[in-house]
Amino acid sequence: MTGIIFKILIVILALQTALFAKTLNYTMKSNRTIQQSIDALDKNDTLVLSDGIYYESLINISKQLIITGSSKAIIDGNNKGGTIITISSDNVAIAGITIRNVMKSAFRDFASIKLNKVSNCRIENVTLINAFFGIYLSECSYSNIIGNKIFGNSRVESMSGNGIHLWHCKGINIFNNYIENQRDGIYFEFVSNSWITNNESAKNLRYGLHFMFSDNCSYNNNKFHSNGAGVAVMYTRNVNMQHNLFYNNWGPASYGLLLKDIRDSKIQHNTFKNNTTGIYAEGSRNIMVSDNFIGMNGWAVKILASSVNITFTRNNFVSNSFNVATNSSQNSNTFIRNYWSDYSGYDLDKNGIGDVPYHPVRLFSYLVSRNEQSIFLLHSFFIDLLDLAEKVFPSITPVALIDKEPLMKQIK
Amino acid sequence: MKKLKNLISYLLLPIVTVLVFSSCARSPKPIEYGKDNCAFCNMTIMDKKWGAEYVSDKGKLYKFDSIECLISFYLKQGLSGSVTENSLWTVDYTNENGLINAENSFYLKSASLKSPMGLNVASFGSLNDLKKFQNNEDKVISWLELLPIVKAGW
Repeated sequence: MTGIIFKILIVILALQTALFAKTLNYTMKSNRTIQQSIDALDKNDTLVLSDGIYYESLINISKQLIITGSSKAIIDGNNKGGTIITISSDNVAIAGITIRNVMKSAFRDFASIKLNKVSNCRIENVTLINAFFGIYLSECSYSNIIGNKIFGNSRVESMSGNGIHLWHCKGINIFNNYIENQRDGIYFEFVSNSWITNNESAKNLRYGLHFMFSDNCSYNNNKFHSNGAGVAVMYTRNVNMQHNLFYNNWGPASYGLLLKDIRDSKIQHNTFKNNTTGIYAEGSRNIMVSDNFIGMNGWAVKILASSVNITFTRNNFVSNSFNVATNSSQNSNTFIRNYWSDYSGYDLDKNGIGDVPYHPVRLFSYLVSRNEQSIFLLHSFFIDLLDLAEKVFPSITPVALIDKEPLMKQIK
Repeated sequence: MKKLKNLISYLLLPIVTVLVFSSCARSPKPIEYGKDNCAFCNMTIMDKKWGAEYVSDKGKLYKFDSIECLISFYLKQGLSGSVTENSLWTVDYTNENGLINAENSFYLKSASLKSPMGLNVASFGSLNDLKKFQNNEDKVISWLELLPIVKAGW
């Protein structure tokens, strides 16, 4: 509902601008800086940058303006000065242009575009190249970040920034952006009621999406892949995670999705493929994990004893080295009616549900979670023998951790 | 034969000495940024301005991405009784990877310092370095004053 009101507001705003404002074309030949041109404009005016390279940084937009141009209109920070564009007025829009080479710093978070304590702004179809921090929103509300492409070149950890960085924000819509080679692709800290939709975040040094202390947000239809450590969602309530793809996150500390202290959330219709660990949960409770495809991972799911009341149902577990690992012999989570590709039971009454329960925790995965080095013995004859013995007479693995009604066929 | 024995013991002595003493040394090791994970919050440690370490009595290393994670770990594990000198370390905000004794550091809590876990407390080895980052209302706090702040606010 708020989304609709929000869109209507934007249309009204756009109409207003169209009716009353004038447009200034700014070209390379103008003998003033972009900042001087901005200062000369009135509220609601538009500044059109013609194609060319403008070497300028520390541009401050302190009135309601539109700045637009093609992707060949390039503002180049030349690695000097600091933040290239700072927006300190409500209702500012920047569209189409390219911004590159922002200055990097160990102590200051310089950004290609920084929005500081504003609302109703819009950053659309902007290309950022060699971004340190890309689009940085600090204490902002009700703004749109749409269709931007952010290319970082982070190689060293200390000299890397985040692609889209939100700190103390609410009502921000992040839609259709592409982000690569940053520290964290999208970063949320103290954000509420915001949406991350249709974005792709890849090849980042650490996380594709990093989410902390951000209640009531949702992220849907995104792709997170080939990131150093996957995606981390921490210290948050009420997160909706739906229809996302998490894939190709390999490494000793790499997770498709890392959950830490998450409450009352939903993980549905996602795909977790080719990750060292698909889903890792620690200190989390009341989470519904359903209708996901979890396949070709090292560990499909790792749940630490501190997690309570996580329900797994209607998920497809296909060809994972380990399906479920836990460090506890107790179980306080539920697995029911999932498909497990290595289930070897039978279905005599032909109701599509296996007649014998499935034990997703192998003895060996229990050993590995106790002593990581023993992974060395994977696929050895001795371990296979142990696993078989444990399957027949379960004694160490959590007896309660079973899927009582495993599905015979994969859910399509 | 006796010569050979002597030779062997001469060769072995330094090796054994090195082994014995290296296993006893309880010193912190530099954090490998981008590789090490925080022992409390599990995040990959990335930012060289922040970090902390706990060296247990047996010499086991626990690395943290922030001071708040070190203290949360310290409080949760009930370490206050068992911690000896030189087991708690923090990264000096101004000195990349310079680990300093946590109990003797100066701490600055400031809204302009954005620490990885949001408490915004930085550690400094020298008061002069700290003053460069101090705004008007920011307070300098000690290790003992910091413990209840983390306990309450985090």
